[in-house]
Amino acid sequence: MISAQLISSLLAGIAYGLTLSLIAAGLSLIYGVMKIVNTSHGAFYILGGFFCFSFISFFHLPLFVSILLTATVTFVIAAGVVYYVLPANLRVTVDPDGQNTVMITFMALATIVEYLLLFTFGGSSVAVPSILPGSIEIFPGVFIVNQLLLVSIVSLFIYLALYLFLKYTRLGRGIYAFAQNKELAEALGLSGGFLACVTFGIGCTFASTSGALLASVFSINSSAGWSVLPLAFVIVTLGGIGNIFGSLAGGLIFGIVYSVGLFFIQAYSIVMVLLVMYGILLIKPTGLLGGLVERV
Amino acid sequence: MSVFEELKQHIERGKVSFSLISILFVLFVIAFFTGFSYLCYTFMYLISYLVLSASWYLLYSYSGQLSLGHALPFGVGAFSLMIFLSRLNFHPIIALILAPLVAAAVGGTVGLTTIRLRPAYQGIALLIASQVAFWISLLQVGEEGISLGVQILAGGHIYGIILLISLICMLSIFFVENSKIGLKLKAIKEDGLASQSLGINVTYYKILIFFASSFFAGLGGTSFALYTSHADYTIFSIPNSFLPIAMVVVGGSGELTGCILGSVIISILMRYLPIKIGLPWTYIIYGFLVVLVLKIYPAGLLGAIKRALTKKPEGG
Repeated sequence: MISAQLISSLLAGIAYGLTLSLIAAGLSLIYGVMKIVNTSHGAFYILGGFFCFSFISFFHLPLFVSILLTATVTFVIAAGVVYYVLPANLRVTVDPDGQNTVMITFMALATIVEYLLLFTFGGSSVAVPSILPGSIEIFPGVFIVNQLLLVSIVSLFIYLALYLFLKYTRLGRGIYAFAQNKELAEALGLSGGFLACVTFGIGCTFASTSGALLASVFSINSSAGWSVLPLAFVIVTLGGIGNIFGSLAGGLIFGIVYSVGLFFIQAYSIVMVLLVMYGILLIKPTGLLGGLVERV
Repeated sequence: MSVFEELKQHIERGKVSFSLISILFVLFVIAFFTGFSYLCYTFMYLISYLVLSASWYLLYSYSGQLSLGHALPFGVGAFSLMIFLSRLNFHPIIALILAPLVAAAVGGTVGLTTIRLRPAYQGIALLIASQVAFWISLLQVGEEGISLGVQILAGGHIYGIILLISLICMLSIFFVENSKIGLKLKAIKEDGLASQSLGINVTYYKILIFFASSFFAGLGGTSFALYTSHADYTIFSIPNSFLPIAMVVVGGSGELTGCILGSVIISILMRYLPIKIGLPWTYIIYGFLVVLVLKIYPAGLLGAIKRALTKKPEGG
């Protein structure tokens, strides 16, 4: 039954794309406020996976508690990075030279994180134990792995939480306002530096949560960050840079294209996805869904 | 103006970088005759990445284009050399001439398509392009890559060829930056719109510098492949794209001297520290070095040295 297999593959792809799109949403949020591309996002992804793994296997905490703890720890680390490492005038910058400096700094930070993890955990892959083993049959012949289903539902809840945060809290509305008009927001008394710290923290928390969730389905190793980073760029570009809920749509498109590609051309699927995305970036740099979804 | 006068002027303009190139060259030659083989290997590594970082520097400092995927032309140069030598059985000299040209064609064409993007987007597009090459090479030749089964050239010959490549490359970059083209490119970097209104063909020069930079990166890749006699998919990885950037940033992105300084420091770090303290700590130190230099001396170590030197007369 090719069609049933294809649908299974499609479902898995959608769930994977949904969870992966959390990374892209974080990247988008950071770009919206700080106007910088966070090249260390992959590092926060692996950091999340390894933190969650350590909490579960060394302290024997339950999965959800570990994920929450991971998110908290990453938030503190990320906000600290912006506060202590970035020069104060580069926290929010539109100047190309400043943006380049920040990108290079973050790449160096990612290198440090990668090798700290390599030193601590060794080169082999680790996996967060999954709490729902096995798979369920939705229709005859159509399967989905339980853990993947759980993970994608958790991701949807995280998106919901982000939406509520941005829409109904004072801080969230501040971020919203700052992303729309920086000068006016600063004139109204919002501090760009403080918002940059918070936004970077939230964005990186998204990456680390995605890492923790995906590490319970697949596995993670210290150099995985570099292969996830381009995928995050793909999703961001599909959804439009600076557009958080566009990333959700971008993640779904990525999941569908990637899984269909895997089904027909196997490993070359990743090459195809990257090439398609490269083309989109050249034709429409603001992203495929640039104008469709409300911009944040 | 005669050629010699022009040469003299060039040398006067960039005295420091010219003398640094000569000092390096003399050091390399001495290393060969003293017969420290590990030192020679370090120098070959240094030369490959020096050429790569100089090509990145040429692109970044002379047209403001940020390439986060400069491993693409580097790796294409290395891979095409290996394919020409081991699969197609070309004569080594022809392969050596063709490989950087292939790299220039590939890297330049990719760059050509990204010319009109803004720096951050351009960086991402080039990073994605290098990742495409990463996956294609991994899927086509596998994890073991392509190796030269038999040593085609003797070790001494390889060292000589690499030395020649680096000298040609560094001198040409040196002349480009001290020529009229260099001035035009600097103008484009500072203000693209203003230089266009003064009659400089911005697009043409941006494309030209991209092809030139890819050619030099390809030369670097060729020498890298020559001395390791091996090329595999890791050559296209993002850390490999980041290495030349780190070298230029640590040394100082304003001058070729800074680029040379940075590549010497980082190459020595990368080749000698792993013996003493292991690979992870080497990379951690390397990362901290880049972060600290960017935070404390945004103009690079060269900028810091210059500031210290110019301060002295004022104080005393």
